[in-house]
Amino acid sequence: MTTDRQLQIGSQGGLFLHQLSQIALRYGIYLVLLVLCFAVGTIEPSFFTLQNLSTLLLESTSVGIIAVGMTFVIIARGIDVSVGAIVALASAAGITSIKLGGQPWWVGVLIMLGVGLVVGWINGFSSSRLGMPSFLVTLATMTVARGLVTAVSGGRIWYDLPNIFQGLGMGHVGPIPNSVAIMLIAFLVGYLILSKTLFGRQVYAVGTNPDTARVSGIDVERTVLLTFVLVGLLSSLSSLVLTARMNTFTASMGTGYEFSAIAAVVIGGTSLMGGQGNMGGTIVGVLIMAVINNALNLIGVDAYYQDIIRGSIIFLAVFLDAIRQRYIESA
Amino acid sequence: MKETAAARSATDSTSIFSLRGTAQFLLKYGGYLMLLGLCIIFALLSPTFLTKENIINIFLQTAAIGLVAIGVTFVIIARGIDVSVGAIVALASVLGVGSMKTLNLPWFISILTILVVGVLCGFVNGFSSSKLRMTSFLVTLATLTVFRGLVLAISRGKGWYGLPDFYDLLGSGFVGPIPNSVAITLLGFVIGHVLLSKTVFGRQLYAVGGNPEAARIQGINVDRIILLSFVICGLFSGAASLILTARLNAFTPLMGTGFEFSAIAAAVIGGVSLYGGEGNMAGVLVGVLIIGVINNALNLLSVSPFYQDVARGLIIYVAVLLNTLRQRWGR
Amino acid sequence: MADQTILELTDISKHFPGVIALDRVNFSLQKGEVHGIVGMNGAGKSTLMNIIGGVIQPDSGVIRINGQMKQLTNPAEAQKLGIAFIHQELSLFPNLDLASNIFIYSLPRQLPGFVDDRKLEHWAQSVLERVGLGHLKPKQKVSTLSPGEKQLVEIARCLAQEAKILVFDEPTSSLTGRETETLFGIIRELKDQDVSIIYVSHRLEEVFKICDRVTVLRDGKRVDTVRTNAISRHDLVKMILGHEAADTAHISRREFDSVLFKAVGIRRGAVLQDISLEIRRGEILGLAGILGSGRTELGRSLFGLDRIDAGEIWIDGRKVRIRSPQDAIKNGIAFITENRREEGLLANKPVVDNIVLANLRAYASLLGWMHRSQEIRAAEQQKEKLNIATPTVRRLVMYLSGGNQQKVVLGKWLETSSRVWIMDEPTRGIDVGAKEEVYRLIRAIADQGAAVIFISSEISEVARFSDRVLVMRKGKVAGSFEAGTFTAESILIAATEGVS
Repeated sequence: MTTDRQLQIGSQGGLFLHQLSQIALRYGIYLVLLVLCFAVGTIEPSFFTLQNLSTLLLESTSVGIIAVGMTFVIIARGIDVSVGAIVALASAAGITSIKLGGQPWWVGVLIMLGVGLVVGWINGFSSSRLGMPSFLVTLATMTVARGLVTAVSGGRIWYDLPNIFQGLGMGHVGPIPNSVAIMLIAFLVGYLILSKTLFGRQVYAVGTNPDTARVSGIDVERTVLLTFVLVGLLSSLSSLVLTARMNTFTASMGTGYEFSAIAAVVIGGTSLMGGQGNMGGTIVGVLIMAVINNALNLIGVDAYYQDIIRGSIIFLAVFLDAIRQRYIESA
Repeated sequence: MKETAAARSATDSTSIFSLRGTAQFLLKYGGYLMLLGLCIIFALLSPTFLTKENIINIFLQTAAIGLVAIGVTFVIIARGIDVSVGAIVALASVLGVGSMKTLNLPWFISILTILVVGVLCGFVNGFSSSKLRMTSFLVTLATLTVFRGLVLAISRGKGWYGLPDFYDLLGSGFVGPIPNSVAITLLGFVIGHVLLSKTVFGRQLYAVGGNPEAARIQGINVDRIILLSFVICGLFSGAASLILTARLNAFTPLMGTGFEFSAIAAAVIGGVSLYGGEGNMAGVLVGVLIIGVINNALNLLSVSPFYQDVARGLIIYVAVLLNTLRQRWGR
Repeated sequence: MADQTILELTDISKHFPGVIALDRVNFSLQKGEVHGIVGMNGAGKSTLMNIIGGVIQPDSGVIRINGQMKQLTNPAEAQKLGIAFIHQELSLFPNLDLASNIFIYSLPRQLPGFVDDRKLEHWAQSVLERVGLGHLKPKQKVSTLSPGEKQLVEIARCLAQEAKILVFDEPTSSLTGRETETLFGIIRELKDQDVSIIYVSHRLEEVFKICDRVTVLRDGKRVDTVRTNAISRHDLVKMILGHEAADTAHISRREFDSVLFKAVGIRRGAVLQDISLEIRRGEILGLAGILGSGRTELGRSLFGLDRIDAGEIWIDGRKVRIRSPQDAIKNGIAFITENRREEGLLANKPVVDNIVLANLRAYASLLGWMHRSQEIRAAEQQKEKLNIATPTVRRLVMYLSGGNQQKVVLGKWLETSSRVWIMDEPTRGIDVGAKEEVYRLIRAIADQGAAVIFISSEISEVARFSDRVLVMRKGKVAGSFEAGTFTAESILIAATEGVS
């Protein structure tokens, strides 16, 4: 019975190396972000203008808000590719109810939040209590939601939304645009929940070892369910912010958001194997993705090539994670 | 732990026999029953359903998806998944047709190109999923984006129409009473069946999917088998691209959209388990027919394409749910 | 006589950090012999088997096969030399047919790449007949077979690979009585075919039935090798336990109070058949039994991890519903699992996170806000109390030694102030010094008025340590010993008596 040996990484040297690599893994991405910024700035000097940087931040808000929720989901060993579709569907349902259904703005907002809640719950319930693989569940809900977007909105594009939306979209809190402020609040709250609350602990425990979590009295299914509900709600919030900022709804909203969000979270240090990761890393990941997107636009890269690059980034992110995991395992 | 595993199987074997017997019967023959049931329902709902014309139509429309489903089956049996197959269909076509149109290459080169592109895409997927140890779902999600991006970049959003005679022949010709494309698909099923049940590779594929650890111990090169399963999938996707291009007599940028869903759903409905190690060609054939019948009926009943997406998503959801439940209770 | 020795191990020693697993062990196996290996857990059986199987290398000593010195550097080497293992966890492929399973390592080919099914079926038929499965169709899928039949297919595969030495490790734990008889019949036939068999088991009556000779290991040393028809069970047991241990009666020094925990009529399929027990305050109830007896299942069921078909649980005279671990913890029950790595610890998280894991709410305010400083304080207190060897409580648990990891698990449950403790193999995989510490801690827990169920497959441990002992066999209570009436020997006999 020497199972212990597999668990022991006894020597002092091994410990030091491990701590060193932990630091490298955790803070290395800050370095990457810095290097990236300088590289882009060198190629395209207009990167460092105030206007560009604020545009960059603004455009990062949609994915950023979602990434907060995605962090929880991935830490708990799940994945959600329906978030982009939720963004579109929430907007479709909410705006259509206002424009066509004549509802007051706050009903529209409630409907938007409701969409994220419901889809998130379906994803979570299927992945936890029904035991279905989350990638296929969310793939299915994504398809259904995208189909419903056009069904609900009748294929129309909506402009000119009620004043309150425009207020939200154009307004500022001091020097900070509303949407950025909302994203920062989302990150702050997400950080607090993940690192400082009971629920956050449960998420980490479930992601590290669901069996141990269960024996220790944690309701594993409920925890997983809640992570999906959370990301659903945050997707709705992102939808609200995006709709307000653009002052429109179009059926193609949210396309590719799932990729960007997952890439941001994984680049930020959250492992697809679960149990590891933090909000700080996700913020950096979101910024890295935003810088890349911004750079592609500045440099004038064809829209057609952007998909290719987006896919390659996700590929790289997953590849890096796989290497990270192998390194940790072999240590 | 050993004690528990043994004890668990002891508990299972004393469950109520008759209930399990019925469940197992349903699980085994459910596919055929479902197909029969659906045909009856749709025949009642639409008078044109059971006409000779429509039945041929069903086969024609499903031929391409059928080939893709065969390919995906190999991957799923080896415990992987490939959601990039639809994108491979489009990419193979754009490169094959494009090379012919712009470089004036002879038709047989373009056919070869289509198949080779399929194989190469499969290789990328397979190599990443085996040697690089990346999760196949995320890998193929990434390659899906990259391939689609390439399609758009190369075609710049436009299609190519009017292909040379060979394609026309392939697309509208007949082998006796059977349209060419259907004949090729049937041939594909035969080849798939032979590969799975009569070759060494097939046995090793089931072994790797059924018990990867034991397979490794018995000296099977697990990485190579996984790689090959993806390559085969790519090849069959290439073949699907070929017959689809021929039937449309064109390349369109959006071709193959949604194929991954239909193919995976068809395989899963046909008894291929998402947990690996299980499945056969006959079942996949039934699954493909079911998907084809549903798609056809939705068209006949003039269901809008957006609701068709909804239906597609729901079908995948139900298929995965049944597969999961079967895994939990079946044995 | 002409040398019939097929396998010979001379002066085999093996050290692991902190423990001597094997100490100059000699072992020889004759052609066509069935040679049993017995000994308590930790006596060195697994290490010896792993060396024979090429999984690990001995530190010193010589291995001879058919008189020639060999190095068994890896399992493939061992297999090439004709050594095959029949493991507990089967290594068959459920969806392939029998024939393919048996010959998967080298399928007969026709044209390149194609399987010659007819030849395969033919080969399979003859091998299946050798193991008494001639009545089965080689085309059947393995998933349709019973555990006993599956095991015979595994044997068939080993024979197909021309194994001359088969090693069985607890082969009958998932077999019915009839399947066991069939297995023995096959083993006897294999003997006639000059196949040699090593039979590792706790079930002494089986060892007596099927083995020609038996080797007893104790504390890494070979005690003796005897012919099974030349020794009584009583003497064999004495050899396994060591003379003093076997005779030492356990004298309980305690008077016990009221009943704290009672389970009545616990039933779960065929695994647990109508189990009832009660434990008084401060009492340690030992739960003994060999592999397959249902002890772990009982522990899991009492804790709400597994669902029971019938049965009641009473705590302090009040009936309670235990449907999940949350229910159990709420009612003051703690469960130390038998595999801390899989179910007891969060390996790459710090000690403090592990210690507070089962009692998180205690450190949370109303809104769920965690008070990290309180957590750390609690963890440090446990570290002091339990003497956990770690520089800080922030160190990742995976860097601790086995004994200290187990203390972390204990610390976790101590935080919950549980009064009923179910402990499954609490001293497994930890060195002797740590074991003593753990015993003391468990005794202390009991002395504070808790009721303890102490599950262990180490009979001497159970005997030494428990106030009362319940012996389980095949899902039933096979024996109950009051304080002062049991010895390790009597427990062992009760645990292994009879086959069906």
